[in-house]
Amino acid sequence: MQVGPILANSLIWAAELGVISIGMSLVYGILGFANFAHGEFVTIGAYLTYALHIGAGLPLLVGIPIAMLGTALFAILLDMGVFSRVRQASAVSKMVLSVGIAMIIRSVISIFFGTSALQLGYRAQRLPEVAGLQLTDLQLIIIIATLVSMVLFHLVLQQTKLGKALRATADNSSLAEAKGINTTSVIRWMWFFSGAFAALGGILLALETQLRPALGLFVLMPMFAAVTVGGLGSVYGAVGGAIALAVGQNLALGIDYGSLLGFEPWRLRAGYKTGIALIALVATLLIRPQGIFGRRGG
Amino acid sequence: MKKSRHLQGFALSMLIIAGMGLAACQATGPVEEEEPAPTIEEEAAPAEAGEPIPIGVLSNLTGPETTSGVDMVRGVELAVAELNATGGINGRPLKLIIEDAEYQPQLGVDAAHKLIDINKVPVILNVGGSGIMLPVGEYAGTQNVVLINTGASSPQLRDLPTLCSIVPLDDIVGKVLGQWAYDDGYRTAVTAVPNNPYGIGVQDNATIGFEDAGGEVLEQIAYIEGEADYRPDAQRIADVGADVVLSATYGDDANLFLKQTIEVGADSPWYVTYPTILNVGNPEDANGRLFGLEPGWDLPEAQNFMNNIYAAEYGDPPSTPWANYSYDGMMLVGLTMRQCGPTADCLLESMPEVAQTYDGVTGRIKFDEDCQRPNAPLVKMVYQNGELKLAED
Repeated sequence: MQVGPILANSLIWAAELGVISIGMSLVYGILGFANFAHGEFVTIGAYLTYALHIGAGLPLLVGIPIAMLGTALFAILLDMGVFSRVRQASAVSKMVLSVGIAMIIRSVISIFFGTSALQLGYRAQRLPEVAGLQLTDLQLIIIIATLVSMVLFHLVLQQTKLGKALRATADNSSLAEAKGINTTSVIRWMWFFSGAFAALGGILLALETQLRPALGLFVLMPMFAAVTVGGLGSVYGAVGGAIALAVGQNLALGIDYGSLLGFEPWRLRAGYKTGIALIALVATLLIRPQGIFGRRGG
Repeated sequence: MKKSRHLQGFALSMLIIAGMGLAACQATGPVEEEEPAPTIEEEAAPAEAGEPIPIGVLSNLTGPETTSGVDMVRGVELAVAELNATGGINGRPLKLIIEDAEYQPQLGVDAAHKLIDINKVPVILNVGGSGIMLPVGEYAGTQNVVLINTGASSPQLRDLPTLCSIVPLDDIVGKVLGQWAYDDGYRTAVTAVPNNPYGIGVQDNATIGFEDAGGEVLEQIAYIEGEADYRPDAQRIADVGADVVLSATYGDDANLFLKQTIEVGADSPWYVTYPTILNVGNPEDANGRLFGLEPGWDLPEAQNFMNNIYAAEYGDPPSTPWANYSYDGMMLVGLTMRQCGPTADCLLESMPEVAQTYDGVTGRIKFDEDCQRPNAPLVKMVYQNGELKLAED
């Protein structure tokens, strides 16, 4: 088993998945439904960056924050135009609605950008191997960008009034409102963070791979698995779940099961990566439904 | 308790919907409805006296790779225009009915049912890749409808009773690919192919070609098409450390593979089948590293067809050789129908004989006992300076 590549792949995947899953977990924690359109925020962020960088010729470092901001505003508008009107509907109704919205967004992106893959054009360079870890400059940037954004968001959650309001609303929105917190404003901010983080994840994923209209759809299952494994509705759980899932997936693919058992080398095919996420999701729901970092509800 | 029920509901709904979504979009992203281009024969067709003869065309016009599908449809259109301009089928014009398989077997089968059951076509041309051709061919066989294959290459196609191929199957191409890599000095290989009948056909036969020549295939990797990330597969290729990668990758997946294998330090050359259907995003990933075996188009007749006939109609020559093969396929169908009528039986019985007198743009076609073409020309190509060029032997 080669520990270096497994660790490197786990770090990159955990970074991308973690930053995407934060928003998903926020929405579930505060509004109580699984937002299937969250994957499309990932796609919108990536395509907005493409339009700004490749289309309009803006430098990548300028295009990325604008794309994040644009996606965040789109998320807020989506809530104002659609989700706020069905606030009292059941969680399943809102979830089904989000599936429809996701399909519409995906189709619109296909109409404007086509169905073929596009590239953001960043040429990654291999860095020298350090302690068995072989990364490219882009992968290092992905890990650092994710870490920085997560630390900043942690500070927002813990050190600001907005963060306290977000946490209070997630814990009990009625009580938060009774205490004078403007939950409508808090929900808008929640959509802002949700959209911005998803966009960042999508941009990083697109830089590392390529853009496709179904980009968000591809991360949907791992994202749900991460937030479930970590603990539904918990931001820190989403990040922890992403790390646990990424390590689990890459470990499961990296182990030479044949040699371990004294036979010819045999490993799982990489195509089972999504299957491993699904198994993790089901196992968590069966064994510890509140997730690794979640508290048992009554 | 309420929260537990909430969790259960969440889990159940999520699994069902996510499963449906992923299954539906496994191979491709959402596809756009594409209006077939107007056919040439609608504009100028002297053969207007009789009732039009419907001809089915089933190609991939949307999905992960569309260039070859569009080229194939245009090749058929040019042949039909030529046939109709010279009298059609004994006075009856040919009328094309074009359907899009979208690279999805189920959609391909649905389209084939429509062509066969509703449009009552006696023959369907092109029919996407092997994954689509196989189920379509099973049904077409039961309905005695002929399939003219100009884009699929799995050796399993030999078993379809009403299928004739204008392109060579992978029991020929794959072996030549493996032999070529060995002849270029590589002694160990890893295969990386899409997990579909086409990919597995190339994998098996490239392995035979490479190992019969004296090389060793260290590992076979069959990947799932249309994934967003191939890092684990790329890592596996790097871990194996073979001299060369033998592959059947195509479309956008190819671009991601070339990029991500370099990033993990696996910069071995790739020998692939049909390199004109690969999408190369960054030329630096492929320059001097990508080699491919393509159905030939270097005959003077092919050059004339591509640079004069095709370019005159569509503005530029085709970017793949597939138009040549679909043109020849349609011409052969038309010439055979002129001899014995627009029926499947006529085509199956007489096409091999007619082929012996038809000098196509892909050369003289000779069918074997399975109505396959063992003598199709193949050319070796290399990707250099951002484009595919003929490789020097």
